[in-house]
Amino acid sequence: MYAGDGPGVTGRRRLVLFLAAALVGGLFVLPASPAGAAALTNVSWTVSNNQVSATSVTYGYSFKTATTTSISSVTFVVSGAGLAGTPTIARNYGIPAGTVGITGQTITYTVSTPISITAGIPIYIEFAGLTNSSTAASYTTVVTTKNGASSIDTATSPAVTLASSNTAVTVTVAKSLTFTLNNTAFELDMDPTLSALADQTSSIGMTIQTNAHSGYTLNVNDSAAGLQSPATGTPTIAKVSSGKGTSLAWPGTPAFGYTVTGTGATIDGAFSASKYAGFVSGAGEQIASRSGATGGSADTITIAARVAIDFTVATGVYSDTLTYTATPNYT
Amino acid sequence: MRSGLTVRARLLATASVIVAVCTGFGGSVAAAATPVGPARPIAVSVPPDPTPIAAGTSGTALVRVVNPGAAGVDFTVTERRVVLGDNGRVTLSTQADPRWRQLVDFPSGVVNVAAQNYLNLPVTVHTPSTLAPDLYYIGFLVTPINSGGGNLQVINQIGSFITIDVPGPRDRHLQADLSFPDIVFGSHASGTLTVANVGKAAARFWGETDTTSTPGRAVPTQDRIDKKLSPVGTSRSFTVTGTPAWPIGFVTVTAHVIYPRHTESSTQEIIVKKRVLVVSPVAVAIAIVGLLAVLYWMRRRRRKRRKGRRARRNATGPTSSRTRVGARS
Repeated sequence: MYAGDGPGVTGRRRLVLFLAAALVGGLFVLPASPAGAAALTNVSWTVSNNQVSATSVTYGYSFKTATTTSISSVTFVVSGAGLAGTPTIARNYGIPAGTVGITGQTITYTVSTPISITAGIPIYIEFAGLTNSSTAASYTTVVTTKNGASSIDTATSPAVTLASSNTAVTVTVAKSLTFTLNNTAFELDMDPTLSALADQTSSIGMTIQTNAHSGYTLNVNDSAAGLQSPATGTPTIAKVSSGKGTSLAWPGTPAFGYTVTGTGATIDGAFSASKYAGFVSGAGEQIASRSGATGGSADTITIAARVAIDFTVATGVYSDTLTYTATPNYT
Repeated sequence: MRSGLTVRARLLATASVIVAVCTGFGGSVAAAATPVGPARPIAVSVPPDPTPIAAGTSGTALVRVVNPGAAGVDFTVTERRVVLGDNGRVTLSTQADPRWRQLVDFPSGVVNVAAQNYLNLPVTVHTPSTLAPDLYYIGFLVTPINSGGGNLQVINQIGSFITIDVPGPRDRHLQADLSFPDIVFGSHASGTLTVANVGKAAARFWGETDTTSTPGRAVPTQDRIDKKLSPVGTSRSFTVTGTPAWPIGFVTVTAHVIYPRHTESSTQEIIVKKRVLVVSPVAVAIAIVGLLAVLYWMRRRRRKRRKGRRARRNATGPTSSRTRVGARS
């Protein structure tokens, strides 16, 4: 009976001894973890202006975590002396929202609600509003992720040289839009006797190029009077429709309207299948748009403004002004 | 000069008639009108970032008008109320913004920009001392002036706006929503992240979407959202996609939207998460083919068994028939 219990007791003893050894070993291992912090990888440091004493400088740090754990703060210890300014958070990726503070040479990013971050996650934190040291030298930053007071991963960034003898290059690209019109005026000599002279089209070619990230919109409007003659009774040539909402296939004479085609831009669906619409005065109507920057190739948009007359149209000189407004969208 | 143009126009019109008649489209094709105005390119550039102007002070933002063309361009600059809509949409009103009346100095009268040249036009803004910290937008139109003849005049004008930042703490508040179907039959899940400004001040936000897949990809794929402006009462939409590691899998999309809440030294984060089951048509096709193969195999096996049974029966035929006969009798 006891003989049967013998091996079981020995097994339990072995298990207890193993757990005790593991616990004791753990006690020795745990305090040693900060010293054995893993190395952050892909650490980089960029500055928007490397002139000494420059103000409103943006520091950008990127790195990859090496350990899967909760990060409550990240410290950025810049070597040397003289770092100043009131930093603000310009961007943070891969790490939750937080607050920033500066004490001497140490910028601390404190995570508001720490969460576990997987190893290998790329993190980018950008601080604005800093003032460079007044001493020309080569500087590095020691980046350390922390969980409470314990360091998790750490690494030193490549050096950045602050100098007064070099040339700081700051490139600011303005938000720009170029709008080209191939013709600013047309002459339409019309005659109802001959069908070809009774129905004429002014082809207006436009190109639009912009670097606005959200693209642009193109509107058109005409004068309140429309295509009007100053003759007695100020006769007008009727608009083909009241606007793009009632666009239609060319109905014949007498009428004044337009259709739109283009490449690159998104042309309003009202003009599909060569449908025509009447110009709208005042705020006009949107005829084309784009939701992103055009890049190197300009969008081309062609407006075919068509006038058709018959013998019911009074003789005279009819005129109108078509205004195209291109507006870049905001980013 | 003008009559000369008209004569030429008539000649061209006649030429087009001849072409039309020759090609037999005389009645159905509209003849082309004669252009009498020159080509006119014009460009307008504004600063990409807001210009900081403290309340109760004045500041200047530069608007650049560029003329890449071969002839000088006369133009005017007029103030317009700007309405910012969803997804970066800008609309200019036909009127000036009453809020900025007599507070913004645009260049007055007609301005000329020479060919292949540009002008930096200072726009001075005087901010009232009571103006709350926020971003403000001042719209304007650059309108070229036509000088030539022609009974159909065409004007290419450019609308734009400058942004000013009245510094100081403000109350920004955004909301985010992630819209995805629960199940997708396809190679990937595609949804929309919508960020709406429900606060009292404009916010510039950034963020990321992290995508993981179960089974197969625990480390998230990070897609960053660059800084975007979200004026009060507007929203921004982004297309978000996630691909499973296997033909069938759960894709978890976590969107992080980050923005400064009161000051720029602390940020606020919105986290929205969505889990989608993605079933690839390839997986469905493989499953169907597999099922058909199993059914075919089972049928074949059954046939084989029947055949075997029949063969066995035939081999032991007389005995069994006798037994049967015996049984019957």
